[in-house]
Amino acid sequence: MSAKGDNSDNHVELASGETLHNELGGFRLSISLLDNEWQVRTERESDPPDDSEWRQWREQGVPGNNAALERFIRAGESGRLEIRPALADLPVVIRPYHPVHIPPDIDVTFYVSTMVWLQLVIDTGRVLMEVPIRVPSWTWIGSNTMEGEICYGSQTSARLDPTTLPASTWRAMSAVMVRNRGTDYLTLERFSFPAPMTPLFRQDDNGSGMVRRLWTPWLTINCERNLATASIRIEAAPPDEAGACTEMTPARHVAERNHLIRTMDRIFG
Amino acid sequence: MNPLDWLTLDNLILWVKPIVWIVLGFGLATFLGRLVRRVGHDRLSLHQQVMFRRLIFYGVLALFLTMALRESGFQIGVLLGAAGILTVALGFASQTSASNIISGLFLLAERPFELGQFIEVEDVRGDVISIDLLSVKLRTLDNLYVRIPNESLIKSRLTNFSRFPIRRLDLPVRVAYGEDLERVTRVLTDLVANNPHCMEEPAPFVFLQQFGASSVDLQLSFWVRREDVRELRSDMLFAIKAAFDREGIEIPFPHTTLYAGQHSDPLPVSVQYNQDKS
Repeated sequence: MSAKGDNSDNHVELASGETLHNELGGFRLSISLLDNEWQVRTERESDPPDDSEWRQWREQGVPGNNAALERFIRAGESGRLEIRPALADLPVVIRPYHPVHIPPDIDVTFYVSTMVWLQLVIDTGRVLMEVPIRVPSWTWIGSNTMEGEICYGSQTSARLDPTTLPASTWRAMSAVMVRNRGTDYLTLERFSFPAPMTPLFRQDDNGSGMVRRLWTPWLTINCERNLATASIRIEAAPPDEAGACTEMTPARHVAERNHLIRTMDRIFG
Repeated sequence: MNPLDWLTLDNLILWVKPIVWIVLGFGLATFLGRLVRRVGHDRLSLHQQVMFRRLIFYGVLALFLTMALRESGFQIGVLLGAAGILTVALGFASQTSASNIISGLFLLAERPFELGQFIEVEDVRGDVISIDLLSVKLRTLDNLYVRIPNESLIKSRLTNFSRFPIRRLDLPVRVAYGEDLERVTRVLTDLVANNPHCMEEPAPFVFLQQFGASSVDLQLSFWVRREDVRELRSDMLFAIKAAFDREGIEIPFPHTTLYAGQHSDPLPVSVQYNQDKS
């Protein structure tokens, strides 16, 4: 996340009576520190621009707009704050705009992006609150409307070339390799991205001045015979295309084997 | 005989012992009940927690009561025999209660709903707040406490609104005959697509129900999380009205046109003054 502000580490030290404004793509997040409380205000434009620049600035005083205000009582912590991106708290169903047919015995890598949340972390390590940069839409993945799972929905172009991915600071890039070991074409209409079990990485600063993208580890989906027998594997690190990266936010849930298997039941709905 | 003669240490012990057993049993049953609630908090549903808690509470209490009775010198076999006769007598006397108890057992086995779920029985809608031996208690949306006998629940049609995580909302939409239905459909589906609380999948759709007397009757159907139903129904109706006003799409009110046919004369209408009245 490129920040025009205090530092590139996303850590900010606020003084009492000071407000930190953050703005990105029609979304504004203002955090005010008072003697006894934190105040967090969020604002969203109804028709957000496709703006990928992250702006951050400080201001003395507290904003007057109290429409979406949340107050958090301070428990003796300092004014040090970290704004940390994180992946969604539920699986994200990724749907290519158009179905993709994968021939047998072929490994194909798609590059997709998913929306990130912003976590406000105080110096005790506690998350004050978290908020999605864009309000995600709900969707359902399951074999019918009785058995399944509520997820976030996301449409994607399912690009095959990583260089064509838009340089967005508010989306996390992922490489998803689909291995079709079946005997017929595999039609990819949607798949469930296990966001809660995936850590988030950020490209290291190489001094080029380019936007440092967020990446998730490489994902591999193995289809042995058909969609029902698919299994997913989360690798330890992002793909080579991401370059050198550092883990920024750990996975929300440790991928216990049983949990992962249950999740896999619904990779393709 | 002096009443104080009865007050011997042996007699006192004979009466104190069962009381101690009952108090101990009550304490242990309460403790175990709370333990079940604590242990099952993350593992069991609210319904299962309550069921296990009651089972353990009453089981332990019954065990200790039996032991207390034995300590008092009662013959359990005789008591059970007497209880059997009493049960038959009570059964005849209270058939309704017995029916409710048996219905309650069937409900427990069938589990058509659980505590905390939102159901409708006999035109009453509410959250299930208690499932008891004789009845089920509901809290309605306007905060009324409704007691429904278990027997009625077994006999009546019951709808559980919380059974599945998602629900379909069907909104009736009426538009004037002169409107372009493709445009109306586009406006409606855009409204759903732009509301993040409406699910992307299963996909929303617009259904032409019928050509009504005063309007073309459509139905907008989309899926939502079960907890969003009430709010979204209203929100979407507001949004539809606003969108139709913005787009100039007419929502017709019921009207009737009298038409006598192309080739017939106009309907004769005349005003006559009744001279007899004067």
